[in-house]
Amino acid sequence: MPHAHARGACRCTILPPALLRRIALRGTARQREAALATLATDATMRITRATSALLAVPGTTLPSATAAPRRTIHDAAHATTLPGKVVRNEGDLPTRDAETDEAYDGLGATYAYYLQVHQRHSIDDAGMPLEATVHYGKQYDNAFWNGTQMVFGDGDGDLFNRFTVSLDVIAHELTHGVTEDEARLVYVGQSGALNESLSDVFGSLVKQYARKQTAAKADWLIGEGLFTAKVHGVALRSLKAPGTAFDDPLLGKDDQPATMDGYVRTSADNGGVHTNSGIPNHAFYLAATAFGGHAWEKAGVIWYAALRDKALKPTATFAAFAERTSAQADRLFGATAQQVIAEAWRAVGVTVAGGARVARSRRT
Amino acid sequence: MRVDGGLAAFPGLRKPVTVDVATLPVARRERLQRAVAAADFFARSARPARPAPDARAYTIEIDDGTRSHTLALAEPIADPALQALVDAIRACSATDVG
Repeated sequence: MPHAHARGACRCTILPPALLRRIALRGTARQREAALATLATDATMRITRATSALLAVPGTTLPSATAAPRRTIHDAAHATTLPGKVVRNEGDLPTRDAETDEAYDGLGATYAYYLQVHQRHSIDDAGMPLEATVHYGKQYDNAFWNGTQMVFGDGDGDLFNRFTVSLDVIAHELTHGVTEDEARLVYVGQSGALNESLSDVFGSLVKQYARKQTAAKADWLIGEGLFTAKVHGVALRSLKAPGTAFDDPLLGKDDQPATMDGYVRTSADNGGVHTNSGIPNHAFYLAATAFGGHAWEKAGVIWYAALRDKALKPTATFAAFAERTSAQADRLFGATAQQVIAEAWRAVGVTVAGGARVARSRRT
Repeated sequence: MRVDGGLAAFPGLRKPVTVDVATLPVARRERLQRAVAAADFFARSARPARPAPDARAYTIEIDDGTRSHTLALAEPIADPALQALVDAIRACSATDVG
């Protein structure tokens, strides 16, 4: 199979795709999983072909025989009119524009994660097209989800690099769409901080899955590579150590709390949604590292089930979400896992009501 | 102008940016004045910005000596005239932060 390079975003694999496919078809469960993920996240691989060819493998369950991403990348040409001109459609070759190709590959890796780990077919679990706009605005220092698509700025080049540079940021934005489709967490106060946290958690999981990292080996950073060398900081946030990601004369010091003792009451940023998200972020990190192994296998599955739990209200508090994770842990993995979850939340100052149970999961 | 929200919360960027037009170089002052006029700023009604995940919100207050007006905007800013106004204020604030 030809191996074309997407500038700045190529995940080069040592094993040739043909060998990976053989492993995916004939290897052990763990080998198959790793090979599948590598195939699907390789920038040169058409996910359509990778997944459809492996549909017949026992244990490789997909939502439907036609599950495949439908990506479209637009170029705003430094204006702010959305979505802009189409520059890359699903299946098109790399464009040699770093932002375009990183967005395309990042959406592909995120789609692959949700499909292979959670059997979710795109943002709405019904194959929703993945739309993204790059080169938005002039020296635009941000990325956001506008309700229907993702938007990425180029950064100013002074403090911020291009916002497509971090896979976890792309996955963060796409996950806002997933949350909007599922729990519809209101973007203010604690429910808003949960909304943000879920984007960070799955953003980090997508990156860990692409890198095949265990919870112990992962960096747990969001937005690594976004800062220029001028900024004193490593990333936007850290799930492992909230409050330590940056300390810069201009940007200030990362003020994310790790526990409820540091909960910030503010009217800014919709009630501190990007600040207090540090608390549920850290609870996830603690749960994932307590379980050990790959974070997406237990902690990720539990968090995803909680996000889809029909008992989770759009105005959920941290405690309400913690209760759903506890109930889902019990349902999916039993009492020991439930204890791990309860302890992770207790460590960040959130008490889980005992004996939480799941009546019936959303859409299951 | 106050900027709120975005993909990350940076404490150092939270304080409002104030531009004193009288102290601006002529080119920047004229660009800003043209942007205010083109956006028909004083006739725009203020409305609460609907929070979209990671989108930034802007609160722009302008006092021209005879009247004062405040406008709340949320990204994405579809109106090019309003986007030009935000860009003009940003350009001024790069060197004239009060």
